Formats: sequence, structure tokens, C-alpha cells
Amino acid sequence: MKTESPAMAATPDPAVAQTRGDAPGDLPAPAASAAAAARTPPGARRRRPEPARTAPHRHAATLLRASVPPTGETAGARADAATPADGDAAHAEGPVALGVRLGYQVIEEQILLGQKLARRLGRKASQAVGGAGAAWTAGGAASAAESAPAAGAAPGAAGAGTAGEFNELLDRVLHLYKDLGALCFDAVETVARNPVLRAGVARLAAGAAAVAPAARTGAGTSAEADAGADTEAQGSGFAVDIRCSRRVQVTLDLRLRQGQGAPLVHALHAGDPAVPPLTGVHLQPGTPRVGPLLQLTIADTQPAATYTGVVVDSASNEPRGTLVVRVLLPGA
Amino acid sequence: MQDPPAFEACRTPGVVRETLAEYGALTRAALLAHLPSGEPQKYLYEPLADYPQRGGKMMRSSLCIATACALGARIEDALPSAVAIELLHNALLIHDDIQDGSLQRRGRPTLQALHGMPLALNTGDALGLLSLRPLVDNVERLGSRLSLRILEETERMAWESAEGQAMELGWRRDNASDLTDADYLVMVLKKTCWLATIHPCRVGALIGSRGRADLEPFIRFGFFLGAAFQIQDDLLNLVADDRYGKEINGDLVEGKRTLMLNHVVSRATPAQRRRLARILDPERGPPGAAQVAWLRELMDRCGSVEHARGIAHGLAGAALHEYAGLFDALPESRDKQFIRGLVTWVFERT
Repeated sequence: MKTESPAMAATPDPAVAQTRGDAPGDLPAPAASAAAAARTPPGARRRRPEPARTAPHRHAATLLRASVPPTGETAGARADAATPADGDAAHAEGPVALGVRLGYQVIEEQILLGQKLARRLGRKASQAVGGAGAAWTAGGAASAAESAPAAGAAPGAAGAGTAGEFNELLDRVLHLYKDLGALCFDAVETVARNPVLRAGVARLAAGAAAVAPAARTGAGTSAEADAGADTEAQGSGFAVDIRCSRRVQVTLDLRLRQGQGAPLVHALHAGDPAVPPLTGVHLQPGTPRVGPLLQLTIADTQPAATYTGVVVDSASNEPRGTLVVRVLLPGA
Repeated sequence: MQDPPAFEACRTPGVVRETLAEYGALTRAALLAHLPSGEPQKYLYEPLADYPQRGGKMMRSSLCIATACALGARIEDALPSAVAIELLHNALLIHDDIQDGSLQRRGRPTLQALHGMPLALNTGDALGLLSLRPLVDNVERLGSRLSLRILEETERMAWESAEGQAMELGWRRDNASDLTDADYLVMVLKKTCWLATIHPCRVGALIGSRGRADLEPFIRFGFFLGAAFQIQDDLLNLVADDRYGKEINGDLVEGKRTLMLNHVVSRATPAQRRRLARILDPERGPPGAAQVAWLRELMDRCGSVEHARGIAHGLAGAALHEYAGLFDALPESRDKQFIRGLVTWVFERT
């Protein structure tokens, strides 16, 4: 009587392929279980037994590995069960298959450990820092270790589904926040590095000031410098050249408009009329490529005080900003 | 059921050696440009350049570049990271040789044999520090975000390597005799695979995908490839010829817990086990030639070499399977052929 060949599983298994002596690059399907060859009564038509499953196992977690997905508990249990029997297993399955089985067992356990560590680090960071900072830290820790799947309670535990979904949602929000933050960071970095873009942004800022100056209370194009030597105010497009032996704090607040005269600043005065004014102040107008340069020359005899002055439009003498210079005491 | 597909019979495609030569030369040139000079030339900068100039297979750096290029990057994008990998690798080799008391490296006396242990140790520290520079240089080319990811990857790899090294050294110090194959694989995953294969692949994938790649599958591929590589390295120590560049049976003298040693311990009779424990006891000093010969013969009788070779073949088969999942969907390229060819090259190298 013609006999049917055993059913063939759809999933290639390198362990079986290796033990059968096939080339490693061509991994054939393994034989199915011995149940397929169950004895049948004489004369009766042989039938393939009903499969226990109704669809192929195509989950990534089960591919080439144990039939049970390696969750934390099951992976640990498998490890406990497998370790003492390593020697016996080697006898039973041959070293090639043993290598595959042990290899996958070891690597899946280690990946799980890495994921747990990443989650623990993320949780610690949340407790220590809290809020937005924790979101960044937690995301960073997770990406540094593994892109962990949904963090959550063990499958089957009471409320595991809800907690898992919530944690997954939280995880996604944190990652989204992290990605947005990184995007902003990259954008600012790109603008800061590119002189053409930087000039464009500066023009845009000046244009915006012209359209809605009232909305920019205390803003405009401002720069603050704190130095005792040549300084370039970061991010403002202004250069500040200070010549003074003492520590000086400079705050420049400009509201420039296109098509107007150059900004001009006269002497700066202290609150006390008896204090001589600060006269070594010069504001050089900028060009489309180079921002304005504020030059300050302060004599050693200048009293320590806060000096203020108005920046005016050289054409119309209308106010265009303020300049505050705070000269500190020697040694401050 | 018994073994094996003969990996030795599979000829490694020529592209592997060509790519190793090309990417290796590029990396070496960039690496040497990073080496400082000046004083103290004799005590630091001369020994610093020694191991990098001796050659080496350059597998780590080539794997990093090839992975990046297979995913669409340019060689220049991955070169600084490849240089950092080689610099750190050389730094760890110096420390390994000190820890193992090795006498030969790449066919010449080890650094501590040439300059003494203190200077060699200091040189290893300096090389390790120097490996940070190319990672900082990455910022200019790759941007700060991606560079920071690579730095984080490097930190993780360094921790994993340190843990693996600690496991191996601890086992030797404590004369461990109950180690399983799984224990060995965990140790190799950390000690060898992270630096040799996992990290280069992951960094290459980060660069090639501009940070978008899922890095977890690269752990599996890197582990299987790296573990097969390490087991073959251990086997070569027992059977290789002079081209191997290290002392034959040096691992037995040092009491390294290789698959073969763990296997022979598990198969030995009680009397043989007692003798093995005495031979491997670090308190008694290194074993003599007769003891090493007896141990080596016992390995043959117990089939320990064949056992290890079979496991290496199984791991290599799994590496090919994981490779398919990672790279098959990508356009065909020389870099893909190179990465796949490494699996058979592992068994053909000397």
C-alpha cells in the first residue's frame, strides 16, 4: 500500500538542517512529529491526523526558536531546565544542533536581560528626575540598550493587558517626545552651522519685528555679554568688543527695522548724576552678512556703576533700543 | 544524529579577502593618522603604534564599514567609527596579553615582553583613550545626535566586554570545573562578540540608516558569527601551524575555559578530573609540557575538539539564517557578499 509521506513544517530550522548534513545556506524543512506515522488498521485508508494548529506559526518570536515565545518567566524556566541537561542534550542531538539550540537560548536570554535593564534604568531615571527630563533620559536608556517591546506586566497577570497597553502608550509618547526634541535640536544645529541660513533667520527676525513690534516687548534683537575681553554674543549675530580691565556685563536690546538709518548710541549715564558718563561707546552698523559690532572702551578710572543709554536711529533720532553696561568693582 | 556540514569545504568568496584588504588599508591609514608623536616617543608613542602597525585581520573595522555601506552610507561616514573600534581592539589586546601572560602577538613578542608590563599597561590605557577621538570627530560628519548614539553604543560594548573578560579571568582564578557550554557562550557573547561583531554591525547600521535601524537583530547575527569566530580561534590554538601567530596550546597553559576544556572536564573520570584540577590550579603555576600533552591527548580521546567544532558549525548556520533576515531585502552589493562570506571565512582563516 502506498504510504503518505510525513507532513512537512513550513518553517526552516537550521538545527535540523545542520544535523541532516545539509549545506548551511540551504536550510530544508524538517520532518514532522512521529504522530503523523501512527498505525492504522489493515485495509483502512490512512489519514493524516488533524493538526493541532489551524494556521502556520509565523510569529517572529517563534521562528527557529522554542514554540513558546521567550517571555521573561518562560525563558528563565527554559534556562533552568536546560542547563543541567546540556551534556545529555549533546549526546542526543549532536554538537551542531546543540550549538544552534544553545546559541538561540543564550542570545534570547541575554536580549531579555538587556531589555529589562533598559526598562529598569528608564524607571529609575523617571523617579530621580521626573517630568520632561525623565522622558528624554528614559528614551535614551531604552535606545542605548534595546528597542524594547511594550513594557508591561507579565502575560496572564490580572490587568496585564491594560497595564501593558498603557505602558506601551507611555513608551510611544516618550519616544515621540524624544524624537521631537532631537528634531528641534538638529534643526537649531543646522541653522547655527550654516551662515546663509543664519543670516536668513536674522533677516526674518528683523522683518517680524517690523511687522509686529508691539508684540515683542522687551525682546527684539538682544544680546547679553559678560566679559572682560573680546566677546561675541552667542546666537544674536552681534559682536561685542570690550576693552576694560574689570569685569563688565553688557545688555543690548535692539529693535531694528529695514530701510532705516544706522543705530547710534550716545554716552551712557549712571543713576547718580555725579558719576561721569561712559563715553567710549560705539555701535557699528552691520551688513547683511555681518551683524553690528558694539565697541566699549572703559577707562580704569571709571567708577563701578550701572550705565544706561538709548540706541537711536541715526536718521530720525527715534529710539531703537537700549544699552545697559554694568561695570563691576575691581576684583569682583 | 551526527554532524556536520563541512564549512571548511565551502570556499570563501574572494570578495571577503579583497574587502578586508581594501577596508583594512583605509582604516589602518586613518588610524595611523590618529597616532600622536613626539615625546616621550620611546616610552609611549613608539609602543602605541606597535600593535596597529603589525597588521591584523581588520575584520571588526571592515564589518562596520561594510554594514554601513550595505545600508547606503559612504565609506567616509563609517571610517572614524571603524578607526575607534580598531584602536580600542588594540588597547584591549595589550591588556589581554598582560592578563594572560602571553608571549606572542601577531607573530612577534607581545608588548609587555618588549617593554615590560608597566609601560605596556600604560600604552594600553593610552590607546583606549585615543579611541575616543574619532568618536568625537564623528560630530562634524554625522551630527551630534547620531554621534551620541554611537558613543552610547560604544559605552555598552565596553561594559559588555569588561564583564566577559571578568568572567573568564574569574573562572581561571577560581579554577572553575562545572562550566557548561551555555556558560561559555554567555562569556563569549560578552568578551568577544560585542567588540568583534555585534558592535561593528550595530554602529554600521546606525550610520547606514541614519539612526533608524532596529538594532536588536544585529545582536543575534553578531553573536552567532562572533561565537563561531571565537571557537575557531580556540581550536586554532590547539591545531594551528606557525602562521597562527600565537603560542600553540597557549590556552591550555593559561587554563582558558574554552569549550574543549569544559567538555573534557565534563567527560573525564573522577581520577582524571582530580588530575585536571591540579593541572589547571593557578596556585601551582603554569603546567609543564608533559601535563599539557596529557591534557591535549585526553581532549582527543573525549572528542572535545570535534564537539567544539560541531557547535561552531551550528552557530555559523544560525549566523547565515540571521544574515538572511537582516540583509536579504537590501539591494545586492559587494558589501553584502562580504558580510555573508565572513561566515565561511571564519573557518578558513589561519
